[in-house]
Amino acid sequence: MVDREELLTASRREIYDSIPKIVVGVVIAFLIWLFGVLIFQPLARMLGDPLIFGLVGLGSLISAIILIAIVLIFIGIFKEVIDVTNAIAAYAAAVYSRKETSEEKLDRYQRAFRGIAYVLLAVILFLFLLPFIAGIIPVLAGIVLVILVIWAILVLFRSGRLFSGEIERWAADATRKIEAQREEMEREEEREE
Amino acid sequence: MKKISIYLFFAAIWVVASLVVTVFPAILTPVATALRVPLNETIAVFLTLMLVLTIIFLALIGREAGRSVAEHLL
Repeated sequence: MVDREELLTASRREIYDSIPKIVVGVVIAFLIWLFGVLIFQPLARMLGDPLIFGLVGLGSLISAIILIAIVLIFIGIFKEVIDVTNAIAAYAAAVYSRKETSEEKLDRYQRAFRGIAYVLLAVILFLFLLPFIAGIIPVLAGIVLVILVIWAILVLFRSGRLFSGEIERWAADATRKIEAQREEMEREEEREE
Repeated sequence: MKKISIYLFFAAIWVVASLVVTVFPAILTPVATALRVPLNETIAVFLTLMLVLTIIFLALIGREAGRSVAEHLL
């Protein structure tokens, strides 16, 4: 069992600590992406034109360098994303607990939130890398997207199943409330008659 | 903030150098002659180098920005 207040404080501290690092990483990746897409790729394309200079492979080379740089930055922020996800999961688990949170519940929440975070990070990374993957091998972008979609469905399905206990309990509570209201209304109608 | 402006200045230099070489490739002819490599290869290497330098300086700008944000928050 983990103390609720302790968990909330630790989660808050971890979120405050990691979010700025993630923001800085994403801003650097965005700047590199911006310079790559708006300046270096058009330059490489211009020089790659067979009628002007004929550096045919330069576009792919430039795309590959930018792709590696962005991937390295995302690898750098991956640990922070996992930390934030675990903190958010712990926060959510603590908020829905009274005094103490069970280790099992905390672990389940963390696994589910981690799955959602992996999918979000992969989608953002794919959006960043799309122009550069297409710049190296255009077909590869489509193949990666198909694999990403299948993987995202599997991960989200698994995350959803981890919350199934909570969803079932909430659904049962909601049904009980509706049933109670219906019975109340029936009783009132009988009294009026 | 001073460091960021210096890094930004250098990043701008690399970008402008890339633009100039792309528009006027003949500028690198003396370099290509001195290195005894074809001009197009020299330009490719130069552009790659400029790209790598720009990425490094953008990363440095980001690091400094992150540090100043962290100091501001603390």
